[in-house]
Parts: sequence; C-alpha cells; structure tokens
Amino acid sequence: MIRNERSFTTWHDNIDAYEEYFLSKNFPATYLDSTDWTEPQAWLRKKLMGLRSQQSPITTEHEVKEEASIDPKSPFEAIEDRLSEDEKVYEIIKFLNDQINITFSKRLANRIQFLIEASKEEYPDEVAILPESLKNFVSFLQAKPNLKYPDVVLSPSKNIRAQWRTAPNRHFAVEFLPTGDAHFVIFTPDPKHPDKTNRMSGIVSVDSLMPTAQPQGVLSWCS
Amino acid sequence: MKGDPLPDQDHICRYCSVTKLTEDGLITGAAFQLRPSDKYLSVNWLEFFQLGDRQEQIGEVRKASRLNPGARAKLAVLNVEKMANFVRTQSPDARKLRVLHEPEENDPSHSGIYGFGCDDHLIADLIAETVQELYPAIELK
Repeated sequence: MIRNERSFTTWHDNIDAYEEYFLSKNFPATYLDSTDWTEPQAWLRKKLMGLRSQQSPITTEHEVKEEASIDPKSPFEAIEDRLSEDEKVYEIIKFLNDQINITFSKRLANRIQFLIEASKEEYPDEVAILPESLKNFVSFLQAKPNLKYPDVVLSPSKNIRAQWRTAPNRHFAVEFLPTGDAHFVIFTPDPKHPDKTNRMSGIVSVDSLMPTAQPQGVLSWCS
Repeated sequence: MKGDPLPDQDHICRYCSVTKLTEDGLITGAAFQLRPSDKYLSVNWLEFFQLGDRQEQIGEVRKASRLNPGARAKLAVLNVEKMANFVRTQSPDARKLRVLHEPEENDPSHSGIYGFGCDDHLIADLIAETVQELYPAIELK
C-alpha cells in the first residue's frame, strides 16, 4: 500500500497520515468538504472541525477522557437535514415541550406555535420562522435558566426577537440570527445619573450576549 | 407630491402584524424594523384624506391596504414631529429621520420614513416608543 510522503515522528502522526489516506480513498469529495453538512457523519465532521474523536475507527481506546466534555450530538443535531424549514421548527417545538430545564418551556412552545399560525395566516407562501434562529434562542435559554419569560415576536426576516422590558429605561431586546449571532438593544438607567437613560445596541455571538449585556444591569429586570 | 416631506403636526400609521406584538397586544420595535431590501419604512399619511375624524382616516387606510391583514393585526398611529424629535434626541448618533410622501397608484397616502436601515434596531425600538394610538387593522363588525 502506498502512503503519503510525509515523515513520521510519532505513532500519532502515523495514524493521522493513514486516516488522511483512508479518507481520501474511501469517501467522496463532498464528505471531505467541511462546508457540506448534508451527511450526518458525526465523527467525520468533528475531525474536519478539528474536534476529532480520540476514539476514531483507527485509534481505539486512546485518550478517551479528553472527549468526555464534548457532546457528540446536540438534541438539535438529531433533527434531520432533509426536513423542511417548517418541519424543523415543529421538531424544536416538540423538543421544547419535553424540556424541563426551561421553566416556561410549555408556555414558550405555545407562543411559538401561535407565531407560526399568525405568520402563515399573513404570508402563507413564506417560511413562518427561521429554524436556526429559534434553535439559537432555545439554546440561549437553556444556558441561562434564570431568565424570566420574555415577550417573543418575529422580526421582518422571520427571526425570533425576544424582549425583556419592564419600563422604557429597562429594555433588553435581542434578535437571534441564524448565523449564531445576536443583535441586541439595551435601554438602561445611567448608573451615575439615574434620571438619564443609556441606550446601546450591537451584534455579538449568542455566547457573548450575556457577558456583554450583564454589565449594563439587564439581569436586574430579566431574571 | 411624491417626495414632499409631511407636515410636522400630521400623523402617520404603520401596519403592525400580530407577530410583532406582545401577548398583551403592545407594539414592539420589530414592527418598525426594515427588511434588507427596504429603502424606507412604509406608513400611511392620515391627514392626506382631509377627513377630520380619526376613525374615517383609519377606514381609508384599511381600504387602500395592499396587505392581507391578519385578524389581530393593528394600525399604530404616530405624530411626525414627536417621532422624529424623540429619535433625534434619544439616539446615540442624534439620528435625523424624515417622512416623505410616496404615493402609489392604489394607495395615495402611502409615505415612507427615511433615515435608517435594516440593522438599526435601536432606532426601530425608539420609533415604537412614540406610538400614540392603536386601531385594529381590519374593521371589527
């Protein structure tokens, strides 16, 4: 068997090189394209993302500990890529109805259902809600279980927009974009001049949303 | 005439889908957000109809609507000057909005709010704060 020409310094290099060779010979080009997510080849995807399982088909029983923190499949990844946008949204609603770590999950599921029906009533031929946006919103709520139930509406682009507002100067609105980013608006009392209102907006990753918003005191009315 | 600024004292109304309202029926900034393809925010000029009564003005807007209004959608009424002043004084960049007449064949009171884009969510939220009146988008029988 002819292997590639790189020189091997450790047995790990040997294995990696063999995997490269094996993949190039045994998988179609689309499988090796990191932008192609049509095939749920979890192990292969992780390898292409630099998250290769240490327990691959070739490297068995090696440094399994390092993998323990990486959940190989999120509940959302289980949703088949072949589903239509609307079907994906219904799958997420089903998931919400089974959730116990979001205290208002059933109320939220009902609200999303209402938004779908209202959106279809006005624009029957359009997608009701972008599933990636809904997914990012639900993931955010799962990571922040202490947040109160927000007002949930749809943006013109059919993204989820959540709003926590108790007064004109206690306003935190977030549009969850399908890209994994969040477009936020905050109106909050100026800590030095409480009669004045600080107003700011921006786009950050959903993961950075609360670290960005928290210093503005949003948790005083959102949680 | 097309492109003319609306008088400061006049009023405009904006169609608000129920998907942009809270569960309590309050308007959110999403009702004033632009889509990426929009050059301005569509509104209707109420005084265009030269009818003294607000209900009659709203009735004319309902007749001209090109939309397929949902049963629970609302028409939000704003004053031109109050809206523009509030946004100018409260936005971090002292944003100047203009409301211009944009008549269309079957919608002669059609107008547009100019001066912000689809990413200006803060401006949309400020505009929402200046809503003065709400009416059902379809006439209640």
